[in-house]
Amino acid sequence: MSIPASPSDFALPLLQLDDVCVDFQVPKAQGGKATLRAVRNVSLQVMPGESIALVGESGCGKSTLGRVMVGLIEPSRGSVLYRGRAMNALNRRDQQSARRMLQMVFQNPYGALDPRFRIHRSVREPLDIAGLGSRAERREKVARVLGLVGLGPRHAAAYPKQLSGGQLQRVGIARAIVTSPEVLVCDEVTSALDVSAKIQITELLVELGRELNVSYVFISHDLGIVRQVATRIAVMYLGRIVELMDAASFYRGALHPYSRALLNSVPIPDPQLQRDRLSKILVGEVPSPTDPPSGCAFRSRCPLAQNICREVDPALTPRKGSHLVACHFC
Amino acid sequence: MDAASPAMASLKSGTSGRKGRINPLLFFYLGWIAAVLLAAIVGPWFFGDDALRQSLGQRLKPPSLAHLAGTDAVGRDILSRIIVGARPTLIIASGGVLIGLGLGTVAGTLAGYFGGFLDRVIMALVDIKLAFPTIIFAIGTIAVVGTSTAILSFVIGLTGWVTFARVQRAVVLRIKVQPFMEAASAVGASSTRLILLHILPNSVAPLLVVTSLDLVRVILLEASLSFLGLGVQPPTPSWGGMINAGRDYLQTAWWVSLAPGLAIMLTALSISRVGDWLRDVLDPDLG
Repeated sequence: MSIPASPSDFALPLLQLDDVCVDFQVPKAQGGKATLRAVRNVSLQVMPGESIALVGESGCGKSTLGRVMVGLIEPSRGSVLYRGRAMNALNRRDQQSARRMLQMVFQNPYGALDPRFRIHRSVREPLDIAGLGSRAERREKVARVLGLVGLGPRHAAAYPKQLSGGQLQRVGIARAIVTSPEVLVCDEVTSALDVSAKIQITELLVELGRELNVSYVFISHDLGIVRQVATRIAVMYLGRIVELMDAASFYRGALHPYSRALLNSVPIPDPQLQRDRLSKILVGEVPSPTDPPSGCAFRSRCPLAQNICREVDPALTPRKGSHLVACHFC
Repeated sequence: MDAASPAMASLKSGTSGRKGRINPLLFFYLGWIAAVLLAAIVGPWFFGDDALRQSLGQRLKPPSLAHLAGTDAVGRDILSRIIVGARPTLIIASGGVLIGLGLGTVAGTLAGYFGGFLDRVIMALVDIKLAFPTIIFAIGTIAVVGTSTAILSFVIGLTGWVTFARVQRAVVLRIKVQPFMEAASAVGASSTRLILLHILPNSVAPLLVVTSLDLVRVILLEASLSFLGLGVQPPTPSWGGMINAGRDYLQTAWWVSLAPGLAIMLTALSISRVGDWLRDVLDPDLG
């Protein structure tokens, strides 16, 4: 029997996705319906205290996967387990309390708050719905959480239109953490913000993660932000996870050609180096998810593609340590 | 918390020029509505007798100091009749609008929120109603069940719910896809909560505009029905019925129809303008 490397090896995953698929029916241009498989056979575990980043181009299914995690979308196949128990097998009550532990911060801070609710009411809403605590306790909790995200009583009494994007995103975070969740899914939370607000919100999330002991799932296409917050990185392409590895080694050790291409697309402030890298940046468009390529989904844009890629969809297989890659040639 | 301090610094002002400006005519419209309401509430106590007292020696007198709006064919004071007529006119109009608003909002919300089969059934009912001429529907119903204030309100309400239903359905379809709806679902909000606390409060502004337009429509519809003799029955005065009573004398005694006509026009105009203003004040998105 080997000795576990860290205490977290003992821990059960908070959230476990087993072979999850999500299909959408979309109308075809020629009439009729097509099946869009937004998420394909994804298995992923969220451990206590870790921060997983889901990265990939728009349309790769990362937001859909995030919504599956918090229960906004039912998987078409596969299961979502919270602390080892399947969400859809729980009774209504247990399911509601499980979903309180899985919260989400949304991409667009301007739209994610009801314009008719004052800030304190929006932040209190999750407590009202759950029926947690007395009125006075809820009020006090709301004030405390708003304080945690750096907002005061003046903001609490305001309407959303009176706040800036960064302030609104703080409210979105306050609303998500008010029920003391264990997993917080952050869907492109900084993409609608200006640069300074981006940095502040990122720092706030890192700080809250430490204080509240919450696990994060960061959905992002911004590898710069991901670098600051993630402990593990899952690279998604056309609904699949193509590479899953520790964030610390990702920037040097990523193997999948798509991960390499993503890394190369981050601009660096050195004209000479940047010119050299431009040649390696990905060409072409993401294939339509209603009609993905046979075999490996990435082969149509892959510099390494061979005949086998046309026939066999590579499985996620382990490399060194916990590093998983889905590719025939790396 | 260091990162927090810039967030504390600013709080945008919520007021804007648009809300601050008030058209001076608005005071006139508000004043007129207040006067009509006052007339409807206390008018019959003060002018009830004058409105009904006939005086054949004073028939069809033009406006004068004794009769500011003149007298009608049996010598009744027209101004008194307008004041007394405000009550039945307003009761029927507001009753009709409330019934239409209630039915239409429920139908439109259900159709827009749940969609599918329910949506198709409700929208089919709307199309059937729209294909059916309003006046014919009203005449038919009143011919069968008779006429009274309650029946008139109900009939008028039944002719008006479709406008509310269509507007509300469109509003719900727009609100349903707003990010805050998904955010509310994410924290566990039920359909009931989504509809009552998120959709309906955000529908108030558009519904208010339709309400003010519809008030105008039902006042005119009540006038039409009274004009056809299907509305408020004589001798109780109503504005539409008074216009009808003056029809035979348009060539010789124009004032018999003019005064109630003016009353309807001013009331309709005032309600519509005040409705627009209220929409601007209430709509957070315009602020």
